Amino acid sequence: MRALVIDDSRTMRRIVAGNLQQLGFETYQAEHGQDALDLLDGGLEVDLCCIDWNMPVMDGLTFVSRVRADPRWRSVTLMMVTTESEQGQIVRALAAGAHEYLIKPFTPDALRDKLEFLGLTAPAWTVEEPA
Amino acid sequence: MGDIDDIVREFLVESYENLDQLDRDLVALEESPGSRQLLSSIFRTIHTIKGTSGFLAFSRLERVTHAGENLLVELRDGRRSMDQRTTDVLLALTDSVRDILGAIEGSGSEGSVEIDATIAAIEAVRADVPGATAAAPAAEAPAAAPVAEEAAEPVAEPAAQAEAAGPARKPARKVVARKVGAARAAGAADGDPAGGPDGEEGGSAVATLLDEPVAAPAPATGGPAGPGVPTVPAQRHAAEDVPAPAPAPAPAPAPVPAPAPAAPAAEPAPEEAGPGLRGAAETSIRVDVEVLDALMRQVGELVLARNQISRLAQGTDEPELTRSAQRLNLIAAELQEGVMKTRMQPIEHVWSKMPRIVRDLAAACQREVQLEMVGGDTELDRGLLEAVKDPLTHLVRNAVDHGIEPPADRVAAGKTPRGTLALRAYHAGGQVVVEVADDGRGIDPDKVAAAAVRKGLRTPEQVAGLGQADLLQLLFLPGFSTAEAVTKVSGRGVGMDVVRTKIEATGGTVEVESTVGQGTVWRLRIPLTLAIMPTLTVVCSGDVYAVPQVNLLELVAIDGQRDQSGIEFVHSSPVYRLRGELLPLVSLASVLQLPAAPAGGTGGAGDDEGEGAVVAVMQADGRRFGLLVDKVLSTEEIVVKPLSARLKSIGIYAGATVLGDGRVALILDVQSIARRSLAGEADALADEAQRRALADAAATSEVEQVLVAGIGGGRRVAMPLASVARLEHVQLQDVELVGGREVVQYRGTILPLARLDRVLGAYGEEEAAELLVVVYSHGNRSVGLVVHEIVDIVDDVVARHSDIEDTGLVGSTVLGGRVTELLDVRQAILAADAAFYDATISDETYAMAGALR
Repeated sequence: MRALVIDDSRTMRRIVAGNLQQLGFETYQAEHGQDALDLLDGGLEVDLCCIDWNMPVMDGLTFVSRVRADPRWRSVTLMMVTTESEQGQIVRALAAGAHEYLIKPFTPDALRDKLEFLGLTAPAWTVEEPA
Repeated sequence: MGDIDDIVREFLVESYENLDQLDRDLVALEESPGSRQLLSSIFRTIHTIKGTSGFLAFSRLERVTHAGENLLVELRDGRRSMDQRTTDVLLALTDSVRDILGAIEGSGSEGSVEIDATIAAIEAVRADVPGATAAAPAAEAPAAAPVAEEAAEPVAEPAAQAEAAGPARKPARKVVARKVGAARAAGAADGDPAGGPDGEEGGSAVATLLDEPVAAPAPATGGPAGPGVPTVPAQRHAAEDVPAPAPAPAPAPAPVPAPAPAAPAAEPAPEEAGPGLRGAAETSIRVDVEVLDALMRQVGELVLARNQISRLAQGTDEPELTRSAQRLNLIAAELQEGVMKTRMQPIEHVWSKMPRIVRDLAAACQREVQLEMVGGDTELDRGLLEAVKDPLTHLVRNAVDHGIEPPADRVAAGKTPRGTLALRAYHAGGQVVVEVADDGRGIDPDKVAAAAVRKGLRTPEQVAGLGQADLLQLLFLPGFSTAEAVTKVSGRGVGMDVVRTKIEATGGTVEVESTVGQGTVWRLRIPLTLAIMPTLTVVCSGDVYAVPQVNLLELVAIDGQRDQSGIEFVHSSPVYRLRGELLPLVSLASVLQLPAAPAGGTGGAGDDEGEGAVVAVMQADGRRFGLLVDKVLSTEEIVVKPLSARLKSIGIYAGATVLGDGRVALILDVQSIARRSLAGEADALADEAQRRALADAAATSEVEQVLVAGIGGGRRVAMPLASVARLEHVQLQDVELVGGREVVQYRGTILPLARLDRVLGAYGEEEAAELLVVVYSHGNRSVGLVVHEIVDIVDDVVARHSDIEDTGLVGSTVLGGRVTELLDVRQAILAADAAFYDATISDETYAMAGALR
């Protein structure tokens, strides 16, 4: 399983990526929507994108619509990772084609639940229970 | 500190970077209040900090950023417009955030940083009717503003410290080689959850996160998936985690958004700042500064070894060795250059603080200032960058506080109400020049002189002989401050002397140029690097010394024959006539209090006799002088080694080094030598100062008091005061003619008169009823020189005389800002009394006239 973490904050990328790795994901990172699009365009194949809402250059919403508009990436699951204050916007993201959303700050459990729901749980042997 | 986990540290680094950007954005926003791009960027920064702090369970940080975010949302969505008060509150917010980050950095937890005032201030602003005008906010402003002020004040200082200690050093400590993380098994049990502050709700997430292996994909190893794919993300990943090479507060070479010069009209294209901002991260890694320092030291040693090998190779006929030595030479030079480059940082890192400083200061002093920054990408060694930070800040503060006038004064002076403060950096002559220029009121040299006298730093006599440029140099005296009242802003007991000391400690120099009413330019010249210095090695009394080439202008070999050597003595001080200008000479032997080498000795010749010597023409401390040495060896790149405190306290040496032949050489501190040996700075010790002032005056040039008189037609002449007996007023009717000459009866004798205007051909003024007569006496004879007016008595610096000759004149000079002709007294006296000198031709008079030349 591979995931692309799209966030303009280095720290946040590491946190999200770290959690995903705990769940057995191989992770890639992008700083913003355009960055992520370029990666995908370059042939990177991922199963999941975790997308921040507010980013420079290209925000999460635009990224979602762009990905959805391209048949090559039909199989990619898109999950918005947003803060509470953006909750109202989530509907727009879902309407634009995002599959799921996750509210920051999240716990590893919350993340795993969402991924399970999406059918993206990695093989059991890589999953670790949090201490 | 050690407990702070990697992620928290990363968070701190990133947040500091973002905050610096935020400061600039906020200031820029004030200039172009409508800019959505800026607002989005600001919002994003606060938003990101808030989001991350939620994860890391920094609840105070989350609360305060949350409050700020709410305000920013309103701004971003156009529900409220930007005003002074909003900016203040937002700046207070960034200060609070910095404060908390500082606490986290220091102790690993938020501590009890006060945030309620800030939050209250933000809420107060929000409570106002958004977008409403005048009345309502005005009513509440006084209430909220002080709160914001209060919040901002205490925060500022620690924040500044945190910056200094924080991003500048902290991230540097961290060698980022992410690949290591991949080696660590993914399951790596729990590390040190200690980093996770008090395990609250977010605690579990944090604890888990802290355990995570640092790197995600094992990059280099290729990984699965399609062709070409793995490499891309691998690079990406490396690049992301590892941004700009030397992590300083500012993000890479972000274009500094100088307070939008073109007003709000120029709404920048949205999102343009984005890609450029992080583009530099692509191929860079973060390296511990200590590693670089160690490398630098090693390279220094290598350069020393290289010098030694080169020296050996020169002495042999072995072509193999010579070739190897040349190769070594080349490689060492390239290596040295390469390592030096790694330590370079754009000066922007220092400048990034300036918009905020200027803004706050301008508000506090009620000035309107536009800051312009040019050449921010000019690079300097990071050690030097640190060293110039404070002096630069001081100059900027000074320029805003003292340089730029209040708007009303500016308008009255016919200028725009808004002053311009320009920071410029560029390379020139192997140095980096940094200018701080304002278009303010300028510095009045006369006021400087008056202040120096009033403070007892200089005597009126000393000051009177100084030119404009020299007067401005007085600003650098310890204990000098022109401000009538010490202001809160820049009067903190740190004067220009500290600025100069700090800059000169780096091997740099400070100059100031100022035009009254038009502005002031402070110019710092800073070497590119500290560690390796191009020098000239010289011999004095058999010992080798290194002279920094920065200070060296030229070398002049002096012929052994003393009479033709060009060395002259003014009083007992040697000067050298170099292309018609008098250059004060400083003998290195006497500075070092060494006996002059015996003439004909192998090490070199005596100072000014025997087989010849060399004058190294130096520029230091704002003046030129010749350093007299026995012999010049060669130019050499040397590695500066620090001196022991004992040697350092002598104050003549800047460091030591090992030369190519293995000898130890001391590096001369040319600034100190100039200061000690020439007119200028004296020590705190008054008598010492007195003693030196006398010696200096003699060393630099002869100073003589002259009487300046107007002779009509706007012309002025100067004559030595020493031989003037009296000044007399004579009624025109008392003038009698004796044998075609004008005389008056004077103290029982007959005083022949010479009208200087006629002697010197300055006609055109009508006859006054009263004549002003300068009486010269010699023995029992006197003559009177008739002038139109007595202008002044001033100190005349002999060295500045021009050589122009004319009838009755011995040259001209500039006194009190006007060209003044130097009277050939002998000629003038002879015009009055042809027999004046017949009785005894006075050596003294000759000497007097001679001294004028």
